[in-house]
Amino acid sequence: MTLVGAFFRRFAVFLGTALVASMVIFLIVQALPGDIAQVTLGLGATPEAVEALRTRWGLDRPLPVRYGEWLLGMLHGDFGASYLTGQSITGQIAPRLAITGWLVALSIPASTLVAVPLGLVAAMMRRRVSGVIVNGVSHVGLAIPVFFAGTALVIIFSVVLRWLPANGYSPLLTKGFSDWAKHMILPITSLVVVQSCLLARYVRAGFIDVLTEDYYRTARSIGWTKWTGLIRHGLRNMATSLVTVLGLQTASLLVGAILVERVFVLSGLGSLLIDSVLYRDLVTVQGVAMLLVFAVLAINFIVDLLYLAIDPRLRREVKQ
Amino acid sequence: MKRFTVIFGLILAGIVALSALISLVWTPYNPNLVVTSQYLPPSWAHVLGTDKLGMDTLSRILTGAQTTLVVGILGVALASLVGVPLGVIAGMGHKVAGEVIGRACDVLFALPTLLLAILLAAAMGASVTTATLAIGVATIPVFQRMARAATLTIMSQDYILAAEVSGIPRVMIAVRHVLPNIAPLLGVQAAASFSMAILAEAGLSYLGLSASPTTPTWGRMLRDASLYTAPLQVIIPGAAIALAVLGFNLLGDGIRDYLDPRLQEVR
Repeated sequence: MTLVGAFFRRFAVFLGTALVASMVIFLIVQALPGDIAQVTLGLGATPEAVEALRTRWGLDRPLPVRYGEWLLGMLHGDFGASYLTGQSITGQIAPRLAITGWLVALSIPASTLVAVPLGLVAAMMRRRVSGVIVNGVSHVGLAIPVFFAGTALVIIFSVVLRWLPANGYSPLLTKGFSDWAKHMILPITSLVVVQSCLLARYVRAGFIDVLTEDYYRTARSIGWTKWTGLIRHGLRNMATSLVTVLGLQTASLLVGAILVERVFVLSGLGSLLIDSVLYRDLVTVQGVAMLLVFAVLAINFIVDLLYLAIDPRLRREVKQ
Repeated sequence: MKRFTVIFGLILAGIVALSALISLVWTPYNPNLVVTSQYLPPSWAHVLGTDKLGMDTLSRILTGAQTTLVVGILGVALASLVGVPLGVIAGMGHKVAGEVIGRACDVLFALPTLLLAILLAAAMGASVTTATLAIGVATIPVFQRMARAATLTIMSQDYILAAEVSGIPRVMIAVRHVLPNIAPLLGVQAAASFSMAILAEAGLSYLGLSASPTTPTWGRMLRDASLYTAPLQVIIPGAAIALAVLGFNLLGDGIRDYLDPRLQEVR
């Protein structure tokens, strides 16, 4: 099989899984107890009124037709309208996607930039005081819930020092950079603090693995320094496991950002999902959940491709 | 050094377990009763102060340890009871079954725990059961992968071949030879998953997706306290979560080194 073939095979698996996921999500939401029309109108509503509402929302038509319409709509970027407010779900998603998007897009690279040097130091100096300290700090950081890190930052920088706003969001395009940055610093920092500790542990373990390899010993014996050996051989080896963890982190952060969004009162995608759950706005739940699952699967697909790019052994395996 | 961290972990985990046990029979005050004024600073009467309604914080922290441990234990139990058999089946060479199980677990593994919890809460309402189910189901693939990999190693051993040749049914081979041999590895995994479960439960109760408001949980206590009037009431439950997770993490590392010295890092 060629590399192009491998690409299309992975792409087909990605699309197939997304399709199965859409069916599962649709069926789960349909199977939920309670007739949504009855719930909306309340118990006092006449059967005729309930029936009229069901017809208006198209709930009286067969399941496959409704599923097909929902799927086709999403392919055109139309997630339907909320039963609760009648508003377009796509219109609600867009501004929230921006907030969650910033949180993910800024915190993941920042955490990586912090974690790789820290992990390298922790691996190289693992028998010295500096390495033990870095390792210990990352162990403690790993145990801190991200919402506690965020809250603690607010107490320090907003309540005591009064340097930064405690919560809220200021859009980049309409309100300008400086306001936007002031509102983003604390949420991003709390994510980076927690995530870089996790990443640094993987980086450290990845580099330590390299230290026991024969090729590293050979590199040392022909006169390479420790650092040259680790950076020229270690980085690529560590990259495979780092990409795996980064992929999982990015995926879980898409939803997990909600913990930080709650601390800083940001209305992101996760908050939309959880609010819709609390108000039992099931069409919105269905749409947002599908969007998130799709994004998660897309990330996995990209991670799969990155493996091929990083690891020549895998490419050779695919070609055979 | 290693010894010190394990002992430290044991102490922290012991405190959490002890708090949960003590709170079953005794707490300084009723954890769900308003006993005095709001947001009192720590004093002899109220060692950790009081919360926004005037309930005793120490009593609530002790009781909160119960939920933390129950969700952790049941979540990991669920994950291993489902994941391990699936992993053993996948590893014992039923080709089609193995492929199907592997694919399904891949999808589940890709699904963030929090998303699963939110969807479950949409279906069944928020409760300790929902939180436990979400954490347990999300952890199944971890155990499945571990059990499958370990089973594959065991299956290549000579004594398995001998058992197969002498006509022992596969189920018996799984129960008699495979399970006892992979048990230590699963123990290590259970310890690691346990602290992750505690962290996940804290997040869910912070979002209001776990226990009902009448059950004190550390996550909810953190959310409910005011940053401005009583930052201490925010820091106490936060520190409780962090110390519990740290304790079980360190303990897990210790168990790993004890059960499987091969996994120890190069020195």
